[in-house]
Amino acid sequence: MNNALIMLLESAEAASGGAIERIQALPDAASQLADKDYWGSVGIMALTGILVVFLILAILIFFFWLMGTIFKSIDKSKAEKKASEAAKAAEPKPAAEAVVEAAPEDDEEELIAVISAAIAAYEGDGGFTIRSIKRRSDGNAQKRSAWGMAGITSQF
Amino acid sequence: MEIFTSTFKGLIDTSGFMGLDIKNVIMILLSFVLFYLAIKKQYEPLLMLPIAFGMLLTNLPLTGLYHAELWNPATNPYYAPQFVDSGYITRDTGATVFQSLFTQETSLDYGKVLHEGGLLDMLYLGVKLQIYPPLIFLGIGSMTDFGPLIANPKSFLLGAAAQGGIFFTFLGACLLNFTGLGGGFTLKEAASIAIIGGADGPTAIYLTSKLAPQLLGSIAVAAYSYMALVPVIQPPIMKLLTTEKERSVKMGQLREVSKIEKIVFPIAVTVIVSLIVPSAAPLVGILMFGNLMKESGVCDRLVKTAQNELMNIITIFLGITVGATAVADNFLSWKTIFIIVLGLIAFCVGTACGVLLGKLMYVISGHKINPLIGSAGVSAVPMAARVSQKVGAQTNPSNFLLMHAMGPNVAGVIGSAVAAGVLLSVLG
Repeated sequence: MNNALIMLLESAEAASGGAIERIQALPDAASQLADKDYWGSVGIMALTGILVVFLILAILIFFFWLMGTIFKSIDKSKAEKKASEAAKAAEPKPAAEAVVEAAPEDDEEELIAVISAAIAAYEGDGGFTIRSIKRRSDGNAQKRSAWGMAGITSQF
Repeated sequence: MEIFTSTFKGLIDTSGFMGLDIKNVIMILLSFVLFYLAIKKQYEPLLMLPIAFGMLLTNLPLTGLYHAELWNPATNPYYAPQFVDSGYITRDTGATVFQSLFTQETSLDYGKVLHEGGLLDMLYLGVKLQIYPPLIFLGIGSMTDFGPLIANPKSFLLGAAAQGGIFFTFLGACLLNFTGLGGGFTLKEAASIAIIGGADGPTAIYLTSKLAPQLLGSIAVAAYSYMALVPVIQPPIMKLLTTEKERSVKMGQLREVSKIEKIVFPIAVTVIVSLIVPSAAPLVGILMFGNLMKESGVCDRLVKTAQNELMNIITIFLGITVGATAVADNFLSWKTIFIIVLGLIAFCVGTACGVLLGKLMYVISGHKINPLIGSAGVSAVPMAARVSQKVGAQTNPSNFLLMHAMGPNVAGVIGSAVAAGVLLSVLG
């Protein structure tokens, strides 16, 4: 594969019979422009360049997609193992923990947990009960600027 | 009285006023404009201010801080010594008769630089020998979280697409040769200007110092100015190329990335990229080294140094010496104007390419990807990602694209370093 890439990198030169090297050896822009292979070489160089960038990043995508898939399956099997261990145990508490671990993608539950934690941190030790959490209906009611929101998000 | 007048005359003769010409005055005034941009407008002040001061110092006559002629192979050539049958002939033999035994190369005589150079000449060695940009990358790597990119590797595509601006501008710079103004651009100069589209200062300086050092001052000023102007340049292009429906797409939560993945990432990127484009290794390899130090969690002291002291020291050296290369003869030309125009084109096309690929991914993914994150592929971390967040929030205030945009954003850093490596391997 590496050979193929080297060939691709050098294709600009190969296509025009070493034209790039010849053009580069010319001292100034005007004489370079006058070379008959100038536009062919420049065009091939630009095209090859962007293709190589895409190719390398595509290889990285494949590699990290593969890595992600492997790690996700490891995590999944670990979670399943924990869940099955928890299910075997008689106590209800570990079972509840296992449920939470097995379903981490439940956005609403996470959101409720985050809001509860925020209120707990704000209220201190006083103790409180959350009866309901409602989303504000007026979508444009955001008072904070987008930059402010970005700052807050970056803290998460 | 005579002693007084002769001393006074001597002082006047050796003062800077005697060497001052109109070009110097214009450059000094230009440095004042950059001071204004850095201090009042806060355009990338950490680099713009040292660049402006370097520009001021180098254009004050007779200071001897920086000598442009020492950095030009035509005025300071290096004659490589040759081995002959009778033994080794050194340059010290000096006689003209032996001159032909030395082959003149395009490289510089660094010995002369060390003997005759001023303070900024010494510091400029770090730019010329490509030491500073990789060290800046070390700091950037130790501050960057590649988690969003690992969680969504497809972001690499957006980081690649945004490099389209580089290659488009390369063609554009070659096209400008038809005007013949300023002597036109050689292939190496065209590539150095085009790299402005990578929106990555250290990469631009790295490539330019290798391919077209005479343009370093103008390219660095253009690159950092446009990076500071990302929040102004990008939004109109993003809005123009997307519909309100596309801009309001909310993207799903990114998966959590494990520590092992974050440790494997820098090692794997270094190996893959360096094997394919070895000339990108100084940038990508050192960037990833910094990142590995951070993610490993075992080099806290080194990470702190890379992020703070080292980065700050290198930033000062890099800024002031890059500014010092902006001597009047190099800077005051048509080329500088073209560089500024072409740099803007590179930025705009890069942004557009990213957004357009984002649109394609929006269609292919079944409307799950917000095309606005594509514009972040031009690097300029984290400014470009914040712009994606801001424009997205303007359409839908409850939309948070920041973390999604960080993926293409850090991919853009790798992408522009790879693009620089590709240009170097062909033209270097």
